[in-house]
Amino acid sequence: MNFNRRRHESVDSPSLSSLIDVVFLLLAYFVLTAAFALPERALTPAISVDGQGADASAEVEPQIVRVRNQRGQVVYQLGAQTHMTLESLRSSLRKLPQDPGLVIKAEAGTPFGAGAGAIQAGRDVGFQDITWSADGDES
Amino acid sequence: MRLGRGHPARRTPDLTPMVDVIFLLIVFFLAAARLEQDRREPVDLPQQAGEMEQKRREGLVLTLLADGTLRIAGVSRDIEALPALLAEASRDGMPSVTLRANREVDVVVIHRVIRLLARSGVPGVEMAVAPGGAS
Repeated sequence: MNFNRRRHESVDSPSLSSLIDVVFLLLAYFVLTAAFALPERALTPAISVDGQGADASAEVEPQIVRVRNQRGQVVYQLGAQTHMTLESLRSSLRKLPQDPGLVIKAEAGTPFGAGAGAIQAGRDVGFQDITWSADGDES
Repeated sequence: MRLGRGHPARRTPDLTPMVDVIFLLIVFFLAAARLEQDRREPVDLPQQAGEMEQKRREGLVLTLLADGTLRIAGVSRDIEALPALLAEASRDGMPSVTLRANREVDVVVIHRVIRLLARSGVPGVEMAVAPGGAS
């Protein structure tokens, strides 16, 4: 009888326990990091200060979107038009030429999110040149 | 009789624990690096689609909380100290600036920050937004 052969086979077979450990650890790692890494994106406007960043030699006037607080509600004013929603603002922006660019001027008392919405509306309709203009008044 | 010529006792050390430990260390460093990368203060960002993926760990990240507090790398800072911080950070060229501001913060605070950035020569900022809401 040859008992040696069977004994050698059992000794030489690799242990899978460490492999399984590692596979489960990697699985746990990717599950955890996927849950933590919430997506974050960015809007990239140029910045300027009222009365200081304007290019006097520019031949075309940039179009200005004013973000205002009107009786407790945020509105977007584009020339003589007042828009209550971003969708309405987008519709008007689509009709404008894009070469002059777009300037966003948010007034005191409006939340940052409303200004970001105006930038997004400009980007959505294809404006490449968008500037966030800060109020030059220090007070 | 040749008692000593049988199969020698197997003295090969068991490598299983060592492999376990090595992989645990790898996973630890991977996780630590990833968590370091994602160590962003939770801010209720504006809910917008954005235009580009936000770059990570590059440049200066300014976090503006709902009460107008400016935090940089987890430390509260005076907004008026921004020019000095920028001057220090721009020795090797102007850094990119990311503004992570709470969506409810009054634009008066944003304007203060923008004024200081613009006067320090920063041409533009990345304004962080959250496609899926708060982050």
